[in-house]
Amino acid sequence: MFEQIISGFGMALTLYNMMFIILGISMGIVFGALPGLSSITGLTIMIPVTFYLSPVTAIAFLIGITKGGTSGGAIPAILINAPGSSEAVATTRDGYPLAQKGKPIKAMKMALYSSVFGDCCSDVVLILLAAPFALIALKFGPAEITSLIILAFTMIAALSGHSLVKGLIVTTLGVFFATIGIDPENGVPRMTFGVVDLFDGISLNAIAIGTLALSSVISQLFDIWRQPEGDMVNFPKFKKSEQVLTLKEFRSCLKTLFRSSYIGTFIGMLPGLGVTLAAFLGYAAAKKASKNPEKFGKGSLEGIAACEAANSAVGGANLIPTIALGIPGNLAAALLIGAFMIHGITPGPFMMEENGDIIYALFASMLMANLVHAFIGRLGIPIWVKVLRAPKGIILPLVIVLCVVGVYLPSSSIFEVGLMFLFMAAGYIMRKMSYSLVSFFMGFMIGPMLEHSLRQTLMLYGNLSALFTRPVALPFMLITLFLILRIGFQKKKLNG
Amino acid sequence: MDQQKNNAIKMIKLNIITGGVLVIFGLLAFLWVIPNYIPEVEVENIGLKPSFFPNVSVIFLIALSVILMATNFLKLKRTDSISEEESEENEILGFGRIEIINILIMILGTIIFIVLMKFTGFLPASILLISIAMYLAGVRGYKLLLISIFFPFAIKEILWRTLEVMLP
Repeated sequence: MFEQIISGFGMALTLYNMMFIILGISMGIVFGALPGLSSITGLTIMIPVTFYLSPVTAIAFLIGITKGGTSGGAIPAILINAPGSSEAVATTRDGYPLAQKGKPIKAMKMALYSSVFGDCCSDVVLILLAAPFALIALKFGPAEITSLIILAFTMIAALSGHSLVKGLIVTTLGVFFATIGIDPENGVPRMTFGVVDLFDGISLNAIAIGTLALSSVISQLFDIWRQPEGDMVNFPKFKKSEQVLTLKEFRSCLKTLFRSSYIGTFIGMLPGLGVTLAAFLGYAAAKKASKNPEKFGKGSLEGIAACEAANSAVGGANLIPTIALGIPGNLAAALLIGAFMIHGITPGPFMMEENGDIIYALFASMLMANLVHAFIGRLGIPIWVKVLRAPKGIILPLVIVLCVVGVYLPSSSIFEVGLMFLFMAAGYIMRKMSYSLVSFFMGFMIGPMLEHSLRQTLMLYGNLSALFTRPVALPFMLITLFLILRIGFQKKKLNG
Repeated sequence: MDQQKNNAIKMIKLNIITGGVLVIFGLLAFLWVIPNYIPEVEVENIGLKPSFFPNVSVIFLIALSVILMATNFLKLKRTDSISEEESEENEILGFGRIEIINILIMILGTIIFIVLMKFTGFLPASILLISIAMYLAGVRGYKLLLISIFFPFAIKEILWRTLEVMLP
């Protein structure tokens, strides 16, 4: 193991890797700050581009985008009260009022440093827990993995949308679409309709970019077409002398930072709970524990610290079930699984054994990325502010072309570009009818894993009773049933 | 509140319709697509049949869609009890004439783009796409012309020089 750690850190600490981490963080901040886009859009577009990079550099680059995107979303939240991502909604509560008081840069600095703090805490937990979790997961048999995936699907379906039934419907739809292609057990083509491009199944890029990125972009374009936007909102004026964030002010928020990081890390380990929930829980806990709760909502630095530390801490912890079990906790982790697979690495319990040096290289890259994030984020504040002025009417059409290029690059297939547009339409319909895109994509990503473990369960035990008789599988199934009964029949949702 | 309640009722009706569409899709997949487009293989264990898992997922899809239709049908019968939270949730969602027109525009636009890309290449297709999209978004003048021509050329050059990938 020590050889793997040393080898991994050696692989990560290169100038080439550092360059791509800087690029990833910068792109992530830009995507997070740009109106109408998010780090998910950036991730989906850039995944195919990483095809040409080494696995370590590729994943480090993509993780940079995720980290940058989380803090980038806070920039419009603070400056114009329009969060760039859902997790930054909580940041508007204190970020915008502080900006209105003439201290926008101070608010952005606090948001950035809190984000980096949360990231660091969560990455340390990931590094400490990933290997032990993987060891435990190695003892899981097919029945345990099947029941765990069913639980993960139910949690994600229940918590990422407004309706459990609708969430499960799109999850099942995603699972069904994942069966298209050559059957891995028998080698026969399933529902390929004789189309060669479908032999490998529906392309991950086409479905990810189409449903997650392009459907959002096209929806916004239609909105702008029908209701043209007015002039850009004016940014608050400020004095440079009032923008300094002192060490004393930052130290006074340390307890809040640790508490929020802990909350975000815990939530990140559980699939489906989401970054937004972490941000709001962190905020609520900070307000309750604060000596000055009346200052919250009026530009409190503690309020900004609580939200940003919590929402950033989700990222690293999300990779614990991703690496140990191959089950992503959120959309970003699901996309990273796709990136792992493109580079020939199968996430799951054997990942640490078979690709230990790559995993430790990834951990080293994540720690490096946190330092880079603090540095680049701070230096680039004047640039990120200018990015906000970019009109949607120019940015969004360019993103469509980037999506086309992103899908065409790895496959050189116009069929896949057409498939991407098809899923764009499907994603648009799902958005408008309140079906969870996260559940759909998770179903597609983890469906093959579920099929594989289900088949193994049937081969080993002859029937599915093992899901209810095995000592580890049974609690997972009971929790699933509890969730279905508890959440399926109540009106108020946890995410409400 | 009345407007919100109307939106909630509209969403309930849409849920019933989509449930129906999904049931039809599921039945089509179960009765026609899977039997005709997944070859049968002789295996000892049913779990190893190539059609097993697609059939299981489609059966679940049909069952869940029926549940969706049934629960929403019951809600429709009891519209007085629609909660304020449900009404607020459905305020900005919904699928009406505008969305159907948008879908038709998407389909038409996709066909034109793909045909152009296949027969004329990436550049003309992208230039047309960007210029039309920017025009509809309210961008006019030299910005529209400059960006819609420059951007695809720049992308094509960057990809060729850095990754040696040629776009169509």
